Amino acid sequence: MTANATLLQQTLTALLDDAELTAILKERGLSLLFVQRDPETVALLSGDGVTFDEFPQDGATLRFELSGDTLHKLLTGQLSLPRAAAARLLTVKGPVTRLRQLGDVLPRVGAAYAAVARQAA
Amino acid sequence: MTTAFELKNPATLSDLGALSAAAMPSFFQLPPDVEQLRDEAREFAETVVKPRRLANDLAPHDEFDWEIVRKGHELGLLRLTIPKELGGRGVGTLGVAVVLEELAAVCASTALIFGASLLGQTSVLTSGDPHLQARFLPQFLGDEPVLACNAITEEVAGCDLLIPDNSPVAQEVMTARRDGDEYVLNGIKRFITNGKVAEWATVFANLEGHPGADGLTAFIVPLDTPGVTRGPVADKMGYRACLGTTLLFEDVRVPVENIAFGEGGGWGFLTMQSNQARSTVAAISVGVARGAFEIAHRYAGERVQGGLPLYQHQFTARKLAEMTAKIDAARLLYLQAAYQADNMLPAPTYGPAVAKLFADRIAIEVAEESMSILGARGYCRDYDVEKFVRESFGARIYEGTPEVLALAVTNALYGHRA
Amino acid sequence: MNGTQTAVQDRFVADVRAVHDRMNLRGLAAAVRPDDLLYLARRQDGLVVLAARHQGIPHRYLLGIYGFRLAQYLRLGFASEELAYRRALFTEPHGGTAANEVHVLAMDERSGAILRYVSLVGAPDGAPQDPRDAARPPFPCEQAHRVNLFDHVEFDEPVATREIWEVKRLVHRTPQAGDDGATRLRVTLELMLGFYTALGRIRPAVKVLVGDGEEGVAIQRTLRSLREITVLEGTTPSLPDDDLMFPLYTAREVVKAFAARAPQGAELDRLTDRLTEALAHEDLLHGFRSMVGSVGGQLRRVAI
Repeated sequence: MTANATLLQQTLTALLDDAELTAILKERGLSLLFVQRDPETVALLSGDGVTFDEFPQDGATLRFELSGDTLHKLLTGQLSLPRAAAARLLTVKGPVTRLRQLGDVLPRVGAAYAAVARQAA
Repeated sequence: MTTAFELKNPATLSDLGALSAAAMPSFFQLPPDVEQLRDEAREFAETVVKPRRLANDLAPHDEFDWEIVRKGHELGLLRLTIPKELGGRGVGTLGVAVVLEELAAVCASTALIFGASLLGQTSVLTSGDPHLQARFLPQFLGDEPVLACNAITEEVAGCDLLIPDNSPVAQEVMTARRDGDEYVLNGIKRFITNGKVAEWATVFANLEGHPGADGLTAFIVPLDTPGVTRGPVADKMGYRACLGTTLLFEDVRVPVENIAFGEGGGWGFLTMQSNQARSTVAAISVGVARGAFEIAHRYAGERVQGGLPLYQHQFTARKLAEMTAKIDAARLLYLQAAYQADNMLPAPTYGPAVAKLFADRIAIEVAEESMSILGARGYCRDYDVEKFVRESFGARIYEGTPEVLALAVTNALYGHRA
Repeated sequence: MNGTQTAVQDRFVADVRAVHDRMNLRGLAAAVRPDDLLYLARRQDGLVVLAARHQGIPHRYLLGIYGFRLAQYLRLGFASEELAYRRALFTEPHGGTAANEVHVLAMDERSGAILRYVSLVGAPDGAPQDPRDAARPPFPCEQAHRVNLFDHVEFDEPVATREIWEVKRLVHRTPQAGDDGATRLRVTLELMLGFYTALGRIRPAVKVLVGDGEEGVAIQRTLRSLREITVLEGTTPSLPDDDLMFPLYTAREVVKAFAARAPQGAELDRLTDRLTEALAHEDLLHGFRSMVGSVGGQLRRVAI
């Protein structure tokens, strides 16, 4: 299975209701840009909300370039971020040390993704 | 119409490690915390390392100066890359590289003791595995220095593991066999820096039944585990203060949870680690070049020949100018590569490989020229230049020889697997 | 949890304990910000006792201290091994650098090992003045016993929240080979001396100490140095299953909360003098008994 564009959009949109997550992103000054290949989908998650299909003018703190398949595996916990990077399935651009700050963020994104995927099924 | 040479897979700038235009600094201004760290490292090198470097160089090949390590540890050099929340200094590749240049400008051996320990830690740090981190990083928080090491090289394996196109055939002879909830390791590692004195090692071995790079797996092995023997120390021409040791593993049992990056994840991690580390080795080469140059620079300013100080002789002036240009250029390359490694995961292949390729070469050239400027004095031990000459040849061996680096660079240029 | 998972967890716990057993914090005393060092004694045989405010201790050493606490509580069965493993903890979680806490440690200067430890936890900044105020954040022991101690305990003089401190985590290192009774008693007395000297240096002055423990163990020990202790009877303390320290209230018998008037002024000076005399006594045990006799601690019980 791959994280298709609609699923990703629905997931990130659902995360807008997670006030705690947006507060965390705001407090840490984190914005996450997902650039998914095949087909290219762009999604930005930040403390200010979610935008799709446009590259932010000021860039993002961290930019994830990956395939839909890899994104699906990351969000469902089948693959960890370091292993994906080591296997060259993922490129992260931005200050690498800040990846540690995602420790409590990615599981929330994953949980929302799982919920949206369940509903879609 | 076709050209004589057609690039089938021309690499894009992004593939070569370029970040977005906004993220790239127009020139290199070190962040204030890195600048402060550089100053601390410089003072440590001048006041602690320098007075002991000659004695350490002349000492028997298997003697180890714990006092230097202890003092460096007080400064936080053994926990540079450990995140601040885990008690470390939270420094990235750029900070490490800058520190290692400072140390190598006085003593490359000392730089490598710290560099090799930091390299050994990268498996635990970059794995993102909190259990490994809880078990293998707090050791570095205490006041007693603890070292780590990275064990790749074997009698018939080493650099070939770093060549991407070798992946179907490259492998370690050392094996790991699963037995219940443990792995049993057997094999011999050679020339392992810090192997004699480290508390634990990142050890690369091939899973039994999984030949080739896909079977390569990284294990975290406490070196007091039964079956581990610390063998003889190599008697090297340079880098004498850091100990390159044979490590023997005979039925060494390691728990399953001591794997970083999973079964078969060793190859991916190793290439990622190498790309990250190369800029720091380039920094050591720059330090060696700088250390040698500083002696030649001082000498050429003081020594009068034919009524003029040496530097006013055109032939020497040309040498000095070219030496300093090489050092500055090599430094810019490693700074750029380290910056890339801090801002891209996995670190790109091209920039760090180019930085190391160039720095390793100029270190030898600059050290040799410095020696020639000092004449007979350059050939004597108590003027230190000959030590820099011997050490200038070291960095081109570890973390990729020029041959390996050339392949890495051209593979990146032609868009091969990086 | 299956057998393999249990084995992995056991190994994790063993490793975390081993790391802290070997931890060397030799430089701690020199690293504490001088303004925050409340007590420091260096003995000829290498015993060092120090008390320091939390915010004056560098982060790295705080991790060492909280790591010691976790390791010893795991050893005693008072911290959940499963939660420590699941959360990959190598230190007891703590409130960053903002915690209002004083750490009192006895250490061996040569090995840099913590031998004995106790903590004092004060109310957070901004807490209401009146301890009976329902809006006051409870002290940890009050939280576990689900009670406001000051609704049940009377004191002769009014007490403000900032004059109350909780005594926590009194713990000693894994017994070492060669430890004898006299050595253990000496370290205990030295820690008490450091604790009470530091207590006298906290401002505003400490009027009340609170805490909890088993009556035959911790509370009995408290009576050796505190004169008036009120024990609450009838609480059923517990912590949520997801609290690392929940076994504190499942692994011990009956745990009771207490509040005690803290010695101040001349009374505190007398106590520290007695401790100093006991330590100087040829027969340490005799000196200790004489010190305990001079305190004459009394226990009062309040049923709720």
